[in-house]
Amino acid sequence: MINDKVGLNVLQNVGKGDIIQMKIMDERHTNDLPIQKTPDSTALNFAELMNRALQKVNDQSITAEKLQQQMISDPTSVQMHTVTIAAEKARMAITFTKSITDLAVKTYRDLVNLR
Amino acid sequence: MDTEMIRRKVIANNIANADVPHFKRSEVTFEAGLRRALDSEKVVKENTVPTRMSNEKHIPFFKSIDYKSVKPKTHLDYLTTMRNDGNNIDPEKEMQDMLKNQLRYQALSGMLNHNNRVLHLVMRPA
Amino acid sequence: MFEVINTATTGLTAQRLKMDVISNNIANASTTRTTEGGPYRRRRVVLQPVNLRTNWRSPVHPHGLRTGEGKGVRVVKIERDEKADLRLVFDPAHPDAIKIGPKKGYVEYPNVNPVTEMVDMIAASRSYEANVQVINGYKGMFNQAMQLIR
Repeated sequence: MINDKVGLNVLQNVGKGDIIQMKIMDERHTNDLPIQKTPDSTALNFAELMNRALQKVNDQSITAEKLQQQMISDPTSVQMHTVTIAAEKARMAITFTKSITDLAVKTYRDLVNLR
Repeated sequence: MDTEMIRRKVIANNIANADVPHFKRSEVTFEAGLRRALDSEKVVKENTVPTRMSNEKHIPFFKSIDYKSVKPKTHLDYLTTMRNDGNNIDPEKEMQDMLKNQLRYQALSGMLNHNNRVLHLVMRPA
Repeated sequence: MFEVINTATTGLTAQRLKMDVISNNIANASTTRTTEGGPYRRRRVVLQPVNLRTNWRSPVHPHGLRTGEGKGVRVVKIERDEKADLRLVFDPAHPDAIKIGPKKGYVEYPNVNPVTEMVDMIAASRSYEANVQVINGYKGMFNQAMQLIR
């Protein structure tokens, strides 16, 4: 039902006031529809989530190594900055993953040893 | 990196003999051999028809080359001529080859360093 | 990885060759007798870009096939300048003087103009410098890329 005075779309009339549908100025803004589940968040459990993340880190590491090999055997096909950027990305990914997993393991140990 | 050291010696020799008549330049080939060895490994993996040999001393269709056994080879480039006195050294090319050699050496050592660092990172205890 | 260096090197080689030809011209500016007969004629270097793709046109190839960076410059030939007139100096006592015809008593000197040669030399040396700057620039870029894995 449209409130003619203000032009807003009233969804429900509660005793004290109206519940109004959100008016979105830009299509990129979030609306009040239910949140779409991305494939990432449909992981079954923590283990699978960790596994997927580690796979991605491993993939980055593999790409970096392949580029290094290409740099030596076929220099014309690859640029130097590509190789170094891939190597740095892999290293950063591994660093972050290591710190986070270390923290997670420490936290788990702390929780288990609470008693 | 060993290849780059050999290459540097060869290029220095070329440059030093830039004025000698009838001196032909030599060059070092390594990357092409390495690439061939790596590609041959790929071929053997994707090869669908393995050879059936009645005696193990027979030669199979595809034999993969071990990339660890590829060595740099020095060739004498005697086919081209640059100047009238039979010398075929182009000083610019030799200088630029030396520059490329240096850059490659730096890149390789940087990569080695990086790999070592990542390894150390992972080895550290929590 | 090193295409820039290869391309700039072709430029350096071409300019060095041009310089050699210019110095040859200047050195032979008064040579009246050569093995080919006649006075020395100034030589010129003809340059051409190294093409990346095909040279011939074909209905099968799309029009924009020749894209991407070229691979530098190459020397097509070193040709003699046949068209310019020779310099004539009247000197009947010279052993190479022309004996018969309307130009009797004149000696033919090469058509080398020192001013032109000097200008060409300056152009060649500036071009050489520019190519060296290109290589230095690329060296800097390469080192910057190496800084990433410091």
